[in-house]
Amino acid sequence: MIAARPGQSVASALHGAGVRVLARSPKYRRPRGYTCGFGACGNCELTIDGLPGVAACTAPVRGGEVISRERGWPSARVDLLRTAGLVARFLPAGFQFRLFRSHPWLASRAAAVMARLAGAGTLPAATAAAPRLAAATADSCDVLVVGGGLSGCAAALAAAQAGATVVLAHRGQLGGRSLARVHPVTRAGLQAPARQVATSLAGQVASHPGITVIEGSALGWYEGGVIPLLTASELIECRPRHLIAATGSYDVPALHPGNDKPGVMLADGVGRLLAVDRVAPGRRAVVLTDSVRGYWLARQLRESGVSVAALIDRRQEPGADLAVLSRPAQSGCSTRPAHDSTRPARDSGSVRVLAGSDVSRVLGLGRVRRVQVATPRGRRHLAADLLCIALGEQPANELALQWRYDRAGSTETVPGGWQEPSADTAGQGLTVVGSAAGWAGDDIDRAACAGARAAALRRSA
Amino acid sequence: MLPGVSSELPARSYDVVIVGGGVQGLALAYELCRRGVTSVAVLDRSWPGSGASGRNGEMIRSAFASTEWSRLFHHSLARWARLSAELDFNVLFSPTGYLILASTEDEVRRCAQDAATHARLGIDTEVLDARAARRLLPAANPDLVFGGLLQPRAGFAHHDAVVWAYLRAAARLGAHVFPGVEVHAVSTAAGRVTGVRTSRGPISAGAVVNAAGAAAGQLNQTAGVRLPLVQARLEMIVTEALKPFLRHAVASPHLLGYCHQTGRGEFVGGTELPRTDETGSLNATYELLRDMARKWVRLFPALAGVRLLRHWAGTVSEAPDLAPVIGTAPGISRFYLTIGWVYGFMAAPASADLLAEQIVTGHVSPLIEPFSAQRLLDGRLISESSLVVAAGGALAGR
Repeated sequence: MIAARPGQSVASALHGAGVRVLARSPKYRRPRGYTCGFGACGNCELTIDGLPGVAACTAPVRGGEVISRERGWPSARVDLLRTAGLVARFLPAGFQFRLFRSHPWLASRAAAVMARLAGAGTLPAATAAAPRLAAATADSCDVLVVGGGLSGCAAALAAAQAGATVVLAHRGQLGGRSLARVHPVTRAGLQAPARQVATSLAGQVASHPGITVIEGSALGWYEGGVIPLLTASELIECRPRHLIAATGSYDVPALHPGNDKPGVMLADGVGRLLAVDRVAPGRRAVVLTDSVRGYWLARQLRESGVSVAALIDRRQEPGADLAVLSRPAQSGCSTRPAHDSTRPARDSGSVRVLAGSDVSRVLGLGRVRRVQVATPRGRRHLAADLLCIALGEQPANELALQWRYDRAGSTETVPGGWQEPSADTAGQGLTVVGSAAGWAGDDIDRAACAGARAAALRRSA
Repeated sequence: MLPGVSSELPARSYDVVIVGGGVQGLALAYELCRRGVTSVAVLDRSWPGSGASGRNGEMIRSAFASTEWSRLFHHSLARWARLSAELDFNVLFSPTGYLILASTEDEVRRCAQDAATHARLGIDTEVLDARAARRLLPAANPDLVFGGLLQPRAGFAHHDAVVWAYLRAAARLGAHVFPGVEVHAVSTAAGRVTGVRTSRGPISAGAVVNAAGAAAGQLNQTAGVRLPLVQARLEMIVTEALKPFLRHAVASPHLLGYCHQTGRGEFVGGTELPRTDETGSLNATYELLRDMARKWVRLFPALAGVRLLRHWAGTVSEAPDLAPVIGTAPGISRFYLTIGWVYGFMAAPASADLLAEQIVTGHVSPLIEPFSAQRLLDGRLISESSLVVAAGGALAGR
């Protein structure tokens, strides 16, 4: 029995209750915990009320649900099969089929064991079977915006203000990843924290009569311009005159031994715990970064009462980014968890910054205990229970690529590799905006322009 | 780069040039090298296994309705059982059993007829009544399970592992495999093959093999070989890994679908609409996504709510009778065909073995003789009624 506040995610409630291992990796049974916060990494898939494979970091707590982990023998918390990873180095790949060739009876025993270990969740229980969807309904609109982050909301508003009928499809809370971020963004010449701007834009979108907000997923772009939108209760076949893909981005993890231990989290996952779910991600954090993003995250952690052991900057020279740590607090952006169980950190006003350094290894049995850092002056060990990865972002451009692939009419891979679709496809019915288009920074006004242009294209069509 | 893929440029001349680095082309290269042909090149416009070889349903059986299909595929099944050992690579062949599901009284009767054929050919199959079939498929909707035909020693393998295994084995024996080399035309002179023209220049060859999958018809035309082949698109889905609930590979003629659960727990299935989707496009379609979701949830109701990992399409070349074309191209000496494959993954160990024998010794095995190109020109089509694939062209509506 775990207490949680309404609106909190299942994974954050578990994390807050001290449950660090949420899943096990399929083969070597490495423990996995809360990581990305936005349903992108697969490290927190749980069976919730009999339905397997639910990304618990984006599943809101409704109250009274029965939650179980999916892999692990005898349990996911203590998985004896973890030892397989420890002996694996002594076993040549494929040893078993040579062994089974000479001992066929072993093969049938092994098959029985493998069948027990295979898979994650069981077939959904009859009681959990997904609701039978209403028959697909067709919907046409001038502009379909997929993704309700800063760029998507700004584009939808601008298109609606220009008179277009707009459908905005979005998973989870309007505002998206920006709800987890506190760095300042600029909209119409005014600067404010991303979270604040996202909340304000989301409110305007929700109340605009020209915008229909659909909480659901766009399944893809299919021949003939059909974009099926899947909600909890129905399947909507949307045929927009113009598609704006504001599908955002993914946090990129770091490559070093131990990068999957519970306690290693991606920046937006940390931000979400602090600002949305209001759960302390840990007590003592190390932040790894190569941009100003890590400085804002360190500051957000500190203001929320998590002590920051060090900020590891891969760059030789952080330059002006250092000033982020010493700026006065922004108004309206208190992110201190409501019921913070961690020790309050001494607000020293300073965070140790190790420039020209990188994380070389994460140590700890089953969770982060120490972070090994390679600095220009040698190796150092930092005690920490949280490693935050604030590196680059990878555009979530699947939808745009599917559109592009279809246009290419390809019988093979797209010639010349996967290029980013850019705004010059607007005349053909697609605009990609924001981080999905690889735009650096939160270019909200640019997204709004794209929305207005989409509305104008509809009129001229 | 995959082990076995050549990083050099193709030489100017080879004894045998194989066009297409799918499972057919790579298995053939291996079989040729095994028979002492040392100068073999496999050319692929993309990477090895990028076409239907890496996109198929990876199911394996030899229990078909016709004698022709059953005999060829039974030779293949015998080779599948020892393939991992032979290639020294685990192809994850899982002989869990292959069930042809009967959902109507008519299909139950057909199972019994086919079983008689199998008994005559020495293929071990078993006719199941409704109760036995439902016991094998506890998760299935009983309304769709009236019986079936079980081949206990058939099953499935991992298609990527099979491609890698043949690639590695062929390369070890000296075959050169070149990705990213597109063949523009087969060159001929005086009714005899002389080589190929490629994106990397001309290559002369003593023999050329068309193993170009979906592009086989186009390649034939460059040599003036005209066979009634069409391109067709097939689609599949795979779900997230689940605890085992389906042990057998299952083909359902009633649903026009085939499925199995992999060793890792993913449910993999493909279905078809009762028409041939003639296109070279590899884009997956919404129409088939809906068809697959509807049919698989109908057969296994508890799959409702399980998330899909991927949905993809693959393309093949199809003859009017959906049977492969194996052997010499009509009218051109030393130009060989192993094309028109719709069930090519499961047949590759046999077809490559027997075609290599024909190329090296000139002997045409009675197992591949019925699948000659000449049959299509003479209108001697092979009737095979147990295929779970929409009949195209001449046999449509049978």
